[in-house]
Amino acid sequence: MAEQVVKAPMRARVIRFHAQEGAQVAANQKVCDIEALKMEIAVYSPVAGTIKEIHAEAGAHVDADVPLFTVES
Amino acid sequence: MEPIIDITAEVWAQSGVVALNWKHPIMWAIGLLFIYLAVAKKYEPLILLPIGFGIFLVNFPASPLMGWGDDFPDLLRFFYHFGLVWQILPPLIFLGIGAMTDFGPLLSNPKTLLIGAGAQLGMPVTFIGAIMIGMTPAEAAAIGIIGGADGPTTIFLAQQVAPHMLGAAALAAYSYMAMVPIIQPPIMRLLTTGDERRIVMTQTRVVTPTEKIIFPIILAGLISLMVPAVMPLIAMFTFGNLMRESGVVDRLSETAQGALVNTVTIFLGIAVGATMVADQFLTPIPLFVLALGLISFILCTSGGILTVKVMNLFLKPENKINPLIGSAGVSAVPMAARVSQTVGAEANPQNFLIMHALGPNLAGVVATATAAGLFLALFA
Repeated sequence: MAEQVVKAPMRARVIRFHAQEGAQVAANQKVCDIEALKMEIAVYSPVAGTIKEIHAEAGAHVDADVPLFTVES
Repeated sequence: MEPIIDITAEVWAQSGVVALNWKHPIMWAIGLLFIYLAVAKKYEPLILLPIGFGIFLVNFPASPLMGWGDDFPDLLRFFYHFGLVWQILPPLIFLGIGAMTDFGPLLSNPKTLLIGAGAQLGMPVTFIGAIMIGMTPAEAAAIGIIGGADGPTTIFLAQQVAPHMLGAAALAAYSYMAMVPIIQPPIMRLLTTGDERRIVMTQTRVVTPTEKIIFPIILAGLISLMVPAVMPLIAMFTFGNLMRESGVVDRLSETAQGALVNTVTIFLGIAVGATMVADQFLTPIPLFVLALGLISFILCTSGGILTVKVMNLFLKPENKINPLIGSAGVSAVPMAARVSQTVGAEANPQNFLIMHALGPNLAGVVATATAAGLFLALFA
C-alpha cells in the first residue's frame, strides 16, 4: 500500500470533487476541478487506487502545495 | 400646396436616405458582424461590441457623429480626437492592466523574458514583407505590431504612424486575441514533439512583496532610458502595477482595474469603430491588414515556441522548459496562458503549465510595447 498526496499545483479555488473518500479511481481519472486565472483546471489521480482522504472543501481558496486529496494505491 | 411640397422636399433632402450609397449597407453588415461575434460567440465582447456599434453608427452619412461642427467636433469625433489622437485612452487602459497584473510568475522565472522577446518574431518579418509588397514603413509597422495580439498597443502605435489603418489594425488585433484558442493549438502541435509537450516543469519560487514593488519602478526607469517613445503606455502600466503591489492604495488600484478601465473601454471601442467610415474603409488596405496581421500573429506564436526549443539546448534536463509555454509570449493575457495549459494537459494530464505560461505572457506585454516604442521612434 502506497499513499500519494496530490497537492494544489498553484494558488487556486477548489470548485468541486468528482470522487468521495473511499471511491475507487483509475490512473489519470479526474478527481477534482480547481479554478485559476478564471480557468477551470482538472486535477487527476496520478495512480489507480482508493481516495483515502479529501483535504480541501469545495469553494475553498488554496495556495500552491496545499494537499487536495490522498490516494492509496 | 407649394409650401408643403417645398418643406417635404427639404426634409427629404436633409434625411439620411439621400446621402446613402452602396458602400453603407456593406459597412452596416461589417458592424453587425462584429456585434454578432461579440454577442453570440463571445469574441472579445467588451471591445468588439462597442467597435461594431461604432462602425454601424458612423455609416449613416447624414448623422452628425464624426464630423466637425462650427467650432467643435461631433460626439464620436470628440471621443476619437481627445481620446485617441491625444493618446489618452490606450495609456489609461494600460493603467488598468497594470493594476490587474501580478508579475510574480515573470519574476520567479526571469528566463521567460527571453521567450516574450522571441515571440515578437512576426513583427520584423511581417514588417519587411509588407514593405516588399508596397506598404510604407509606417504602414508596415502598424501591421507588424498586430502579431503581438495587444489591442491597446496596436491602437497606440497605429494612431500615430498610420491613422488611416487604425480601425482595421485594431479589429485585426482584437479578433486574433479572441481567436487565440483556435489559431494557436495547431501551431503548437506542429512545432513540438509529444515528448516536448509532456515536459513537466518544476514549481517556481515565491516572489516577495518587496520584489513586486521594486519591479515596476525598475521597469519604468529602464524603458524610459531604452525606448522612451512608448513611455505613455509603460508609465501608466507601471504606475497601475505599483499601486497594486504597494498595498497602501487599494481604493485607487481597485478603481483603476475596475470602474476606470471599464469606462475607458467604452469610449475606446466606440471611438475606434467610428473611424471606419465607408469611403476610407472599403479599400483593399483592410484586407492586407487582416491577412498580414494574421501572418504576424502566427509567426509570433511560432517564435515563442522556437525560442524555448533553442533555450532547451542549453538547459540541464531537470530545468527544461515545456515549449508549449512559448506560444504564450504573445500578449493576450491570460488567454494564451490558458491555451498552453489546455494543450499541455492533453499531452500529460499531470502537467500544470498555466502559471509557467504567465511568465512569457507578461513578458510579451512588455516586449510588444517595447517593439511599438521602437517603431514609434523610427516612424512617428
